[in-house]
Amino acid sequence: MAMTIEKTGAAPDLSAIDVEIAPQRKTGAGRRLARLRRNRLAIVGMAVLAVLVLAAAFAPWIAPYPDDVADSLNFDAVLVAPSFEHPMGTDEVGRDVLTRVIFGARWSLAMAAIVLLIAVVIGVPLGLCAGYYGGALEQVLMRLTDGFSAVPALVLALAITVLLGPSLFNAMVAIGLVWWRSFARIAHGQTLSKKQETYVTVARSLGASDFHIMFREILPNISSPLFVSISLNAGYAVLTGTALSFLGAGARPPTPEWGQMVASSRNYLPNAWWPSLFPGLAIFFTVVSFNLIGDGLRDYFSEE
Amino acid sequence: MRFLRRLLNMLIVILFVSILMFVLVRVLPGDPVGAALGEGATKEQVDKFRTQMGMDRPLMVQYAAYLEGLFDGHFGPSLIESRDVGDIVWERLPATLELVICSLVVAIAFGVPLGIVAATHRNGPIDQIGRLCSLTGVAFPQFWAALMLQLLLGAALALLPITGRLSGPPPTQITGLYLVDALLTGNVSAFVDAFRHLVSPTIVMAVGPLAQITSMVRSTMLDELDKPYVSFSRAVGMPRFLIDYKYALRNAFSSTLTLIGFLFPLMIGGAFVVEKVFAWPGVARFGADSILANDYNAIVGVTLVVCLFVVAVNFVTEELYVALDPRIRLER
Amino acid sequence: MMVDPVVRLTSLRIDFKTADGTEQVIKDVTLRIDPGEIVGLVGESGCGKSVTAKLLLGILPMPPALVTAGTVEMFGEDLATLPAGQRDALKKFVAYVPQDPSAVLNPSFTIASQMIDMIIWYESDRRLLEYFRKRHRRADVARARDYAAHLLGKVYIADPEYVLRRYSVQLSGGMRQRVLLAMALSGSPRLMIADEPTTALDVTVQKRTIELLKDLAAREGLAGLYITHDLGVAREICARTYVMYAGTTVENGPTGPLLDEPLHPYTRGLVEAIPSLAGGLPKTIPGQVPDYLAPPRGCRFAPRCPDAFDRCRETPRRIDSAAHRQVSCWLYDREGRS
Repeated sequence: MAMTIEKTGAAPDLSAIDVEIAPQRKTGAGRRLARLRRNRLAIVGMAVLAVLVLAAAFAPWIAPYPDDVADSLNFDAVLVAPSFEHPMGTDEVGRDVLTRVIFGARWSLAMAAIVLLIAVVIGVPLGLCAGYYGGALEQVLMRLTDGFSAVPALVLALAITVLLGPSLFNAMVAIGLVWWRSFARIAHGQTLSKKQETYVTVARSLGASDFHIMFREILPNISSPLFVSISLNAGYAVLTGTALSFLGAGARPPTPEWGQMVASSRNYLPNAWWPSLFPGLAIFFTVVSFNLIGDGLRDYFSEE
Repeated sequence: MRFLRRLLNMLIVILFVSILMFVLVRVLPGDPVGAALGEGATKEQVDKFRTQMGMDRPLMVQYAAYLEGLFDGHFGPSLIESRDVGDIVWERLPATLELVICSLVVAIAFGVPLGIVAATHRNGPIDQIGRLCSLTGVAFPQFWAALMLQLLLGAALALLPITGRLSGPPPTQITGLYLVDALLTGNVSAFVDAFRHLVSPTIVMAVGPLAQITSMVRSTMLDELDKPYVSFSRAVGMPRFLIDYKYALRNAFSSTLTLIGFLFPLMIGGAFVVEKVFAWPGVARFGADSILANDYNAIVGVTLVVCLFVVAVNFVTEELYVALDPRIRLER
Repeated sequence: MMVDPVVRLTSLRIDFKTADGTEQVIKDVTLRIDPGEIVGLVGESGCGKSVTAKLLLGILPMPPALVTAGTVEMFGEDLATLPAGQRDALKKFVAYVPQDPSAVLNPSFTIASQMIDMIIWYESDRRLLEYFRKRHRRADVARARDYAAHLLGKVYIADPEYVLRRYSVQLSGGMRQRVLLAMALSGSPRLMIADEPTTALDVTVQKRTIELLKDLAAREGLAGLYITHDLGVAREICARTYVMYAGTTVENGPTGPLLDEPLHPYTRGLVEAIPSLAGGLPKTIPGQVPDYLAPPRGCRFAPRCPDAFDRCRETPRRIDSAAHRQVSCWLYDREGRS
């Protein structure tokens, strides 16, 4: 860590050096560019997500073998390794894996959407009420959330799904039911801190109803952390949902759901690795993109 | 006094969960008895079985009977294995414990130093790699990662066994944790055997928590390192090693501790999947199987045991949290 | 025989690289501290006093900061040629008295623990293994603790045992500052660097702390650098004082004459800005500290200077004025008047 020092002349005579080295200052454009570069990862995440959404939306048109989605048996092409005709190979009944992976995007995105919808719709109002009213209601609700937190999410969701009857939809509902607790906790904490703000007292003095205060005044102001949480939880929703399907409690064959695909192809490992690899990879990239967006949102909101 | 109150809270939570699970399994649709007895069962057989299991009595009575049984250590008979669930759980618990403990130890032992190094060498190569790993580590679907690891290390490279806890004979049973038992009895071959079998499942289970621990330690350390006492310590000449590991870490660790308490249930959830893929003879695999088979008593029993551990871990981490931060102690 | 000054900075220039560009935080600092004397460094916020202090303390982060010209000598050693380990070894001889005592003590450890750490570390002569061994040997720890109690006595703390057992949150501000002073004495200090040590304290405690500092410096034979923006305190405790503006030491000399008959227009402004008992409003210096990213050419004070003229567009030389005084200003440079 030695310092570098240039030895100037014996008697430093600054008047001889009339030229001052102009220090560099970045222009306004330079600073904006630097800020963008920091959020590069979030942009990557958004790009990946956009690709997924497009794939899901236009699946029937872009998938190479759209008939392979449902029941189709093609014994000639069973377990073909990745090739030009089948870039991701075929699975154990001869269906093109790439097609099913593309269609699988629909299910996973739907899963994330439905789970989050249920969780938010249940959790946020509960948290708002708990924070706003306080007292016994708050205690009961918070104990409830704590109680639910003692059970691992996967376990509870698994139990509920199975008891409802294994299906993808039930799985989504189950995960949503398990997940409202984290949104409730955030909403609760945020409401507690915003409760004392001036605009709340003003609204109350003007005679606004509790409902109005909670949902029209407080809610918009706590939306930032909620959005961050939503995007971060989207990834976990997909992970849990596919795990449930893998265990056999979620999507059933022949639905081209990624977790289910990995489960069915599992028996053909290690030789036929492709029907298990690619769906899992798809899950991975989906979750990564959600996480990148979530991190970007968090940085964005904290910079404000 | 505060200790007792926390203990009471613990018990209430466990009680609550037991009621929840109990009610849940009996109220929701699905008929496990029919499923357990098989397709060919006649209605009389099913009804007889139900009476035997006490399922025709009102819910409250069932629950009371259940609690009574609990005190004796009976969790009720399992439908799949026709033994008492308690016995099954007791037998399979060490396997899961060993896996979860190993994963937790690995996650902490690697995650904390990585986080510290990432913080002290900010934007250096380790930091960049660390941030990349944190990002990807939590995104892997565990079941898929498990399969891929099996594929890679087990099949393709044939470095490690694919499934199970052991290939050879187990060491003498003292704790049920093979690594510990092998060490205690000096059984080197069993130790190596158990170790090799533990590697893959532990990696899969530890990756996510490791990533999160690293990230948490990094950010809390960065906050701490900015504080004035750090520059003061450096100004008076204290070595970086001491400052990082003793001073800053002490203050930064409380958040990490909270994180660990939060991660533990997640890890147990992970065990459900990992044990299935690696055919690990643990409680979680039994739990997954019993849920899929609608085995009432097993579901409730396993869930209760899991909750017990989660609550216990939370309890311990909270106590540690208080012990680490004298300000909380002094406030009381 | 010339005794080596404890600290000598010569024509120092430090650049600081930030996200927005390169800041010239220190333009030309020449400063000398002789053994046994307390030297003051005054100036408004942002003039570079803290940077200078951090440099001497060895905590100026060197990647963003870079010494681009001049020399830094401490205890006769040229710091540029010292490897990192030896530079850190010098810290034992420097007593640091920081501004805010509460922020600086670790809240999670007792006073005893922190003092013992320092004492044993200094004893082990920077050998980590030896430190660990000693830190865990009961006899060594007991000895260190006794020494800590002794040091607390030196700063006139009546009940050292009480303080040793406490955490910093449990002590008052004045007490914390004394603990810091005691900690500062735990090495074998020859130089004391005090960075506005009384700013965070009550007025009543301030006076006592200043007395204590003077007393300690005299008793232990310390040289000192006392950084402050309070001219009154400088007069009380500093034999000589340097006035700093925008990264340059613009004037220096014995404190009394310096403040009574300031030469540099900036010093004059500072002195006049002190509200006087005779009444009348204090005259503040109009204008602002320059932007270090794009500082003015020549004398950095020129834009605010009431006596500026066209030669000021060129950077003034530092010249010797009467009686051990120096000033950097064309007004006093006979060449400049042409």
